[in-house]
Amino acid sequence: MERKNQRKSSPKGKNKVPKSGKEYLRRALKETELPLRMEETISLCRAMVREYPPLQEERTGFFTYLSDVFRYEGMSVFGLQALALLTACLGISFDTWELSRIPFFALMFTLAMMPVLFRGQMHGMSEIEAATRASGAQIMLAKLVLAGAANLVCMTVFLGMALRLENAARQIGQLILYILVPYLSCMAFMLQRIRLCGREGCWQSMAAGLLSCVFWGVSARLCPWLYGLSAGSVWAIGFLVFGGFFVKEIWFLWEMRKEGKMYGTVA
Amino acid sequence: MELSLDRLSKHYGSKIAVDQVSAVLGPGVYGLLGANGAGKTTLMRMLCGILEPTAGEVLFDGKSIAEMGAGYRNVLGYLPQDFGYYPGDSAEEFLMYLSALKGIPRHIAKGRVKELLEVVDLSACASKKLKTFSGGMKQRIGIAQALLNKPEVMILDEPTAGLDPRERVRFRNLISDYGENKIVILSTHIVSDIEAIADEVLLMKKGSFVQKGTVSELIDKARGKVWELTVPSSQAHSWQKKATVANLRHEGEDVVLRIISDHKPDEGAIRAEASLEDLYLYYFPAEKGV
Ligand SMILES: Nc1ncnc2c1ncn2[C@@H]1O[C@H](COP(=O)(O)OP(=O)(O)O)[C@@H](O)[C@H]1O
Ligand SMILES: [Mg+2]
Repeated sequence: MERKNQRKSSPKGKNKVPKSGKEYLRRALKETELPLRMEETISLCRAMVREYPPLQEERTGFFTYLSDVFRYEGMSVFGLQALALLTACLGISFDTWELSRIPFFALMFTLAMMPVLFRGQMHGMSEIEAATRASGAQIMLAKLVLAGAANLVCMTVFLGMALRLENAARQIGQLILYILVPYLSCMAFMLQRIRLCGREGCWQSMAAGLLSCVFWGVSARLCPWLYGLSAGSVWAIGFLVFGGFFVKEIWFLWEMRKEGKMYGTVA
Repeated sequence: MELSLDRLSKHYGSKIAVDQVSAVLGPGVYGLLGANGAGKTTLMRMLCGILEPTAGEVLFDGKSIAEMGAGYRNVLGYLPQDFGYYPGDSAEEFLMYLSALKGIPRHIAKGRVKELLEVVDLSACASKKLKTFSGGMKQRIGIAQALLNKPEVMILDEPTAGLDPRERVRFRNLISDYGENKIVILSTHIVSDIEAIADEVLLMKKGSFVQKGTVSELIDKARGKVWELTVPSSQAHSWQKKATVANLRHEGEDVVLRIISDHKPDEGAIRAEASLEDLYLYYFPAEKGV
C-alpha cells in the first residue's frame, strides 16, 4: 500500500492531467465548433499526449520479412535457377556425355544467383536498403536463404539427371563432389567480395564465375586424370577447404546481421 | 532524445574526409552547410551507421548506434544524396518494398504509403513507373521513403536538389511540421534553404565544423566583415580578382561592390548589413555566386 503511494508522488505524477481537464477535453472534442479556450485546449492535448505516449508501432520479425523478400525476389530467384537447371541438363544430355562436364554446368547455379544478389548495388539501391531496419546483411541473408533453397532443389534434380545418364549409383559421392566443389568455391569468393568491396565486388564475382567456368571447362579437356577414381582425395580436400571458406563467410554474415552492421561497403 | 558525435573521423587512405567532428544534437532542425567535398555526405553516412568511422563513434541517447543496430535504424529515416530504384517499380511499389525492409507490416504500410504520397503531392502518379519521373518527383519519393517508419532521427542529404521553388517551399513546411520534437539533419550547399528551415547551422569545411550556431548568431559573426564600395565600372574587374565580391550592382556609370573582408578594403568602403551568405563566402571565398 505504501509503495503505491510512493509511486504516485513520483515526478511523473506531477504532470498528470487533472480529472476536470480530461472532462473538459472530452466535452470540447464533442463540440462541432472550435473550443472557446483554444490555448488551454492545445496545452491540455499536449499534456495528454505526454502522459499517454503513442504505442510503439509493431514491426515484422525475420520470417515475415523473409516472406516479404520472397514476394519481391521469389520469381526472379526461382526463375533464374530453373533456367540454370534447364541449361545444365541440356548441357549434359548431349550425346558425347562425359562425367567431366558436370563441374562446368554446376557453375550455372551460382551464375544464376548473381543478378538477384547484386540487384541492390546494380541499381543504386544499396544505400537506402542498408539504412533500413533490415540492414544490408539481413537483405543479403534473406536472398541467400531463398536462393540456397532454390539451389538445393535444382542441384538435386541435376544430380538425379546426371545419375540417370551415368547409370551408375556407385559414383554418387563423386558426382556430388563435382557439383559442390565448384559451387562452394565460387560462392565463397562471391560472398567475400561483396563483404569487402561493394560495387566492384559485383564485377569481380561475375568475372570469377566466368573464369571458373573456363577453368573447369579446360580442366575437362586437359586433365582427364582429375576425373579418375584415384583423384577422389583431391576433390575431398577441395570440398573441405572451400566448404570451410563458405561456412566462414556465412558466419560473418550471420554475425553482422546480429550486430546490425553494414554488409559490404557503400560508395 | 539526443544524438552525439564523439570525435568522429573518416579517412580514405591519406585523404581525411571527416576530421574529429564532435557535437551534441538535441531535437531540432540542423542545417549542414558546406561546399562540395566538405565531407557532408561522409558525415551523414556515418550518422546512419552505414559507413564505419575510422575513429570515434555516434551515440543515440548515450548508446552507440553500432551496438543498437536494428533498434537505431528503426527510428532512422535516411535520404541519400544519390539513389536508384528497380526498373519497372512504380512509386507505390517502391514505397511498399522499402516498407517491407523497414519491417512495417503490410496492413499498416498500405495506409502509410497512401498518406505519404499525398504529403509529397504524388498521389496522382502512385502507379506510374519511376523511370518516367522527373528529378524533382524522384526526390520527393525519396523524401516520402525516409518518412515511412515515422523516424525520430531524419538524415537528409541534399534534400532540395532538383526541387523547383514551389516544391522547396512545400518541403520546408513539411520539415518544420515534422521536425518538432525530432532530430532532423539536412545538408545543402544552398544558403537560402538553410536560412528558412534550420534552427541551427553547422558550417562544415574540410571535414570539420568551422562554425555552429543559430542563423542569427552566425550572421553576427559575419558582421563587420561586409563592405560596400562604389568604384567606376572600369575597376570592377580588378576588384573581383583581388577580393571576395559577394555581389555587384550597377548604378549609372559606377558599380557598387559587396566585398567580404576582415579589413576595410579601401578608404571609400562603408560597412554593410551581413547575411548568412556573406559568412558562407567568408569561409568559401573561391566559390562565388553559390
Ligand atoms: N569512397 C571514397 N573514397 C575516397 N575518397 C572519398 C570517398 N568518398 C568521399 N571521398 C572524399 O571525401 C571528401 C568528402 O566527400 P563528401 O563527403 O562526398 O563531400 P560533400 O558531400 O560535402 O560534397 C571528398 O574530397 C571526396 O573526394
Ligand atoms: Mg555530398
